[in-house]
Amino acid sequence: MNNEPIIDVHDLTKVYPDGTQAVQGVSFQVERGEFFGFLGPNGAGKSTTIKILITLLGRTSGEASVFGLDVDRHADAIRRRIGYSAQEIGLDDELTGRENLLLQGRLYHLPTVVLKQRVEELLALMDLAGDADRPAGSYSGGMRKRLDLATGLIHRPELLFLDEPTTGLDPQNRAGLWKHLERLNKEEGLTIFLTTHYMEEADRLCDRLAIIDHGRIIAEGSPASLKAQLGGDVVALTFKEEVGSKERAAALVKGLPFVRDVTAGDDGINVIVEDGGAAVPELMRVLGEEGLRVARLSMTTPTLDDVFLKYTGHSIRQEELDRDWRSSRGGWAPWRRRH
Amino acid sequence: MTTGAHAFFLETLILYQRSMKILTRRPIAIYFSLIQPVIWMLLFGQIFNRIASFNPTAFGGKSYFQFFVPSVLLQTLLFGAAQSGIGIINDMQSGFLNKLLTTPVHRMAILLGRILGDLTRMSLQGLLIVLIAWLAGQLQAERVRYENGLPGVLAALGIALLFGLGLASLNVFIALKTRNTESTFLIANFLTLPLLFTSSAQLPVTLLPDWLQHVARFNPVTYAIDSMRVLLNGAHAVPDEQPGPLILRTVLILGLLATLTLTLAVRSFRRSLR
Repeated sequence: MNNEPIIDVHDLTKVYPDGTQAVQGVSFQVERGEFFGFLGPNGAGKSTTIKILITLLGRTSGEASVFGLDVDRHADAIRRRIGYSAQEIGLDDELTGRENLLLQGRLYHLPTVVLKQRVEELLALMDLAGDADRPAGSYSGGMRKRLDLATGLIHRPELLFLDEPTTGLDPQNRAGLWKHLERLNKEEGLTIFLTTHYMEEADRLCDRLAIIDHGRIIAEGSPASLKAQLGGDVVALTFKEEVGSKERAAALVKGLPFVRDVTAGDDGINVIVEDGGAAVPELMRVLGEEGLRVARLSMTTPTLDDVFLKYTGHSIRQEELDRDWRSSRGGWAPWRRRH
Repeated sequence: MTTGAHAFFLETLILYQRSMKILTRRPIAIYFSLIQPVIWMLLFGQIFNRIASFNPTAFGGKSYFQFFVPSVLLQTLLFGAAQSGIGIINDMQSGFLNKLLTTPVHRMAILLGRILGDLTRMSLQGLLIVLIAWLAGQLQAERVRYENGLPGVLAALGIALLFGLGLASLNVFIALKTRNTESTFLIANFLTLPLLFTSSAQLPVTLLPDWLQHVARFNPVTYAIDSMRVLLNGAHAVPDEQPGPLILRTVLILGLLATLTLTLAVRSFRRSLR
């Protein structure tokens, strides 16, 4: 039984009443004890998938089961065993931190003695013991986030769903939350399903992740294996003469034996090579012979953004900017449900 | 292990307690909700002071001020009902509702806990109005006297709450449809004032213009206010009606209305969950 995947999704689709195809045939599995992530830009279908799995949203077609239970037919049994924390923080601002935890715990019908002990434990764990009796509305962003995470853990779930958990947090609080999540996964063996559009977050936390864009999974694997697909290092080059240099250089270096791939960079080209240190002198020589003058060279190991770029032809950052611009024109409508 | 009905009642109670905690933490919201009705009460009581003496029978032999008390009570609840819908929208927008929905809590306990909380708030508002009216009455030439004592006051409050339940449910329904606090508040206000002005709230039905009499006799507010008058101001408060049948009819009409709007609220809440 325990060898079964804890989440099993097969050919899942979701079409909203307005015709939006948010999820278009997604399949994946999550093993018990894993830290699994969905990486993709906003609107890629991450939140929709998570809402189907936490039984808040119906699917259009396909299979989706958690703990081997169908999300529609056994919604209640699933709810008892999962925890949830999202970017939109689910706290009652009028209640104190302790009251928020007690309320949540009582809805799981935890015995009072057990619940009280658990509340104190979580308050201490999340560094909130000193502020437990202040209204949650008076908390700072980081404190609210930690309290929200604690409410999702009150009933000791076997599986925790995190929907964009660190969006809107400052770097310090983000790093703090990461530590909590790593501890929960590594030390307590909690299975975690996380969605994020931060590459460094997925890279640091996830054992395995799926890259999702426009409702489809486009790549899946451990962060290391995904990056390894690209090869060793990324050499980014820009040129002094802007017109035509990129195209000429790309065509030229593509044929070199040590070059794995060439992609379009921000202003120049990104050359993916096995061993950057050895490749750079050779690249400079070849380009120099053809009269292509390099303005700037930098070498990095590949990031997940490079992976995203390889599969989609555009970067997550660029996608974010485009979407922000589009949504700002569409008007900000917080009362509409986020998908 | 808690199961079925027991779990449902327990969860409703837990969420009801949450509403109560918020209410007691912000008593100022209650005081503010009373300011406008009390001003109405004092102002109208003065403006129409002499009217009642021209035709004492039509006003049940009471001062206009006392005649007007049930109207103010109902008005307070009408405006108070708007808050029910707004509370739900706030929970949706804050993400709190989603958090509740990921727990195994019975979905209807969420709605019921909130509506029970709103009814408690309305009872409190109603009781305070009755008390303030009585106190204000002591300063006037003709004192306010509730003919049927505390049982009469409680029965009148019961009528008001039945109406309040219908309106709060209607408001939840509107809120779930619009998903927007401003629209919900606008629609609530848009409904409330015409309902009050085409009823027996300001004048007995028999003294209204003919066309308005027809409207008023179809307006549930008229039934609610007339019944409350009978309960608070005595059997002769509404001279053209028999107290017993009037109250029975009122309870039936308001009960039907509450059932209808509550069904609408429950259905739209269910639908909003998927």
